[in-house]
Amino acid sequence: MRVLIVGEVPFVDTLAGLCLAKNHKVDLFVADDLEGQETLDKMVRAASRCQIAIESLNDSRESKQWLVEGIEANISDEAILLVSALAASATEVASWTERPARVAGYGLLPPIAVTGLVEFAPALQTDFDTAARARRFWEELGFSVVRVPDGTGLVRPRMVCGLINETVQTMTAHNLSAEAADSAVQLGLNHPRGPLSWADEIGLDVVVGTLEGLWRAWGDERYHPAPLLRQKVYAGHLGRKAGRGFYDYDANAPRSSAS
Amino acid sequence: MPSATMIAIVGAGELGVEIAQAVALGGWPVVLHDTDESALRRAVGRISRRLEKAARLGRLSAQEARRARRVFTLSSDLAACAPAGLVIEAIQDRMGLKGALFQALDALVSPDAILATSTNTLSVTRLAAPTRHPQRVIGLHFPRPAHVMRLVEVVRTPTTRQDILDQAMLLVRGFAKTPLLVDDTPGLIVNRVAQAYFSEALRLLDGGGLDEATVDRLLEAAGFPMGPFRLMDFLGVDRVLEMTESLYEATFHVPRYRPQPRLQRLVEAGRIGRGNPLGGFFPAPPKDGS
Repeated sequence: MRVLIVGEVPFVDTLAGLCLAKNHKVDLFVADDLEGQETLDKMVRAASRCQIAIESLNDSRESKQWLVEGIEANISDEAILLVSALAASATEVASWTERPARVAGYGLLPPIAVTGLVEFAPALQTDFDTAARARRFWEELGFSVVRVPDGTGLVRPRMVCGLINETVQTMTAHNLSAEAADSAVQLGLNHPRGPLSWADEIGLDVVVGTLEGLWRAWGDERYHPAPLLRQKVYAGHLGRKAGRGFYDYDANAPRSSAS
Repeated sequence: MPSATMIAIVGAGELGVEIAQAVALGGWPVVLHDTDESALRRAVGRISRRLEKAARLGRLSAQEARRARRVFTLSSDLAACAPAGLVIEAIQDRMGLKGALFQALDALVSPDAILATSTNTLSVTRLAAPTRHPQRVIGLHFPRPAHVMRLVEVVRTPTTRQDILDQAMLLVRGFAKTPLLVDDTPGLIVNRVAQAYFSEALRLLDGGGLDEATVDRLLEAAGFPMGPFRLMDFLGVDRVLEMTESLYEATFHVPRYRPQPRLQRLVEAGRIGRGNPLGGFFPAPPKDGS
């Protein structure tokens, strides 16, 4: 099968690796590179060839809409579009497209290869054939598919972004270092990883995008991104993919970031 | 803190017993006090069984377990706590009861001794204020189960003296725990993040189309030892509700700490989890041998 994968690291490169391992032909584009016209043209050509297009861009609703519209306008009538339901629900994303029936939602959270479960969320508009093809695709990649109701952030991204947001607010209120806050949560609550180091893996822009999506959906202050999260995004300290987030990644071992 | 320091635990309920067991690993003599003598006898039985089990599982050496069992003195007389260099109270989480106890302890122990409350909901500052030496009053929050979890939050009030905090940090390290110094604020660190885990899971149910087992399955697959609903059953649905209620009150009603009617209904129905035959979110597991 020919698969187009577009969005942000580490989601898209991990997915591309899993697809290649199953002998799919993969066209991979990292969202940042699409600012160049030449790359954009290449992406459009790749879109017209693919049978399955996967989108994973969650730093904001605006950029997600721009990308989804760009992909959907160029894929063939037979192709289906799998959209990441973090910064917006699959149903909202489908509403931006010409043919919403062929759009289905999914949710993954790094570390992707380790967790082995994909959250599968058909949009309200998704037709039976699309849902069946999407489910089969995830299963053939090696995921256990867990059907969840469509909604911004689905289950795990919403839970984990909530944990991250509360940890950041607690950390700033107590003037703690990232290490101290992470180790408090790991040693005091037995969580598998510190929420701040997890945020660095996911990407702080994706965490903020998901929280903003939840805020739009529910209007509840709990989803208002902690000011420090936004500050880090403004500064480009987006986490591991940027070399710096709550921790520094320039050296081999993560260290606490100075700010 | 001299090496011969005695540590007193006041209250032999579940939390007091867990703390007593944790503290016993430090090697200091421990006095466990409760006005109820039968509670004290049960406490010793429970600690011995748990230490044996820990030794069997290789978490402790047989020698450590033997030594930990030997450090205990039991007393139903509060006066037995008088020589202690550190007193940790673990009685019911009611301001009136704890306040009266702190006044009594304040008059009983030496002015250099540290008075610590294990509360995770009440203001340590308010407990300290009426005592004669508020500068030696701290909080020691042991996340549950206290004999298992490795973190202890050491709570500083605006009046706590720095050398008292330094001593407390050293003692906590002596219990083989990791101390974290925090300010006296509602929920400290651990309970705020814990409530985020529970309340987000409960709010997921409000969206419809999801059940508790699916949420737990997804989070356990992501590495959490227990999904939020199984964990609430384990800790006690009633205790989780109490924790959120007190956090909500203490923060003057920050909306995200608002308690959930869903929790309250379960508690009203008697489905409080922690082995209760009525179950909690999930039915109670069948008892061994039945």
